[in-house]
Amino acid sequence: MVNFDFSMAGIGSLGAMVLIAMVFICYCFAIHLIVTWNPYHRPAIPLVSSLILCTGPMLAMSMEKDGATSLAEMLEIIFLFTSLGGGVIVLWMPIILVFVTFQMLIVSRKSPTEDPLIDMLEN
Amino acid sequence: MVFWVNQALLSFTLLIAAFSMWRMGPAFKRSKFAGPIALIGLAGLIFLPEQPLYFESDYHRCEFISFCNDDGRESYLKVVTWSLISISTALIGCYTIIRGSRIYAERNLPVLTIGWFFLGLSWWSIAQSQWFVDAYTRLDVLAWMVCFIFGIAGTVYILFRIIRFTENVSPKDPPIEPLNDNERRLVTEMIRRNLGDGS
Repeated sequence: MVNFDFSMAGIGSLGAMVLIAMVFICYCFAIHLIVTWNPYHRPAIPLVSSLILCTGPMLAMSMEKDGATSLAEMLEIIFLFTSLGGGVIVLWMPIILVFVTFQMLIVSRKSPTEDPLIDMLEN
Repeated sequence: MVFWVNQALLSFTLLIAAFSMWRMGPAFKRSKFAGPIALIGLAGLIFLPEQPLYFESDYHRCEFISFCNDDGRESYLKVVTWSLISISTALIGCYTIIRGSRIYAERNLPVLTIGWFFLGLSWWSIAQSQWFVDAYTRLDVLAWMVCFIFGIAGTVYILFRIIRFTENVSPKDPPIEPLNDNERRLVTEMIRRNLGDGS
């Protein structure tokens, strides 16, 4: 049976987060390549690579207990990895929002220059 | 198979697909399907089905999976809802502030005020979400966040190397033939008409 326990602290869970990040990015990248399929971009090698990087850790995790896996278990593991990945990205949101708020403060106080082209050159 | 888990996964996948379709292609011709697919994905994430009842076949499977019970569904929904509120209010706020500032036109104070209201709402929603408060007061979660960034950086680097490799092994297209006289005349005429020759 699938055991989803990432709550322990220590090196193991830190390594797990690196793996989760890899699976999350590769999953998103594979979906991106599939839905925006363009043969001129030659997506076959990147797609196969990202699928291998994505399914490898998931297969290993689902076969960890009894050496067998099923579609249901794989779907649950994909859900776990993507949810954790998305969750950690959302956790960064307050830090990102600090920078965004600061940028919006600058934008709100900004006054237009006489010549935008000269301004662009100077910046 | 747990139904709400599958629906959440499918909806998340649809959201990624919609975002990819929205950003691809020239700026004046984005995919028409991105918006509807994103709406279906969002609806699927918010309106999750209830847990199976005790007489349904999937009920017993939920006894073995930590996130399958009602608490798991409720906490997932709570995090998704608060995250969506925070992200959407922040996006609306930024867009409104940019529209109300002096970047594109004269400063519009009411629009600017509405933008800052939405940005403040985003900060309020973050402060109200117990999830953020819990996460930022735990050292192990902060360490996970940092490790996650390292994982993303490493994966992006690997994918970058794979794309470089693909480009290197792809056969190069042969050099194209130079324009013949007829084609040269056509191109010259097109440029002359577009640039104008003063006539």
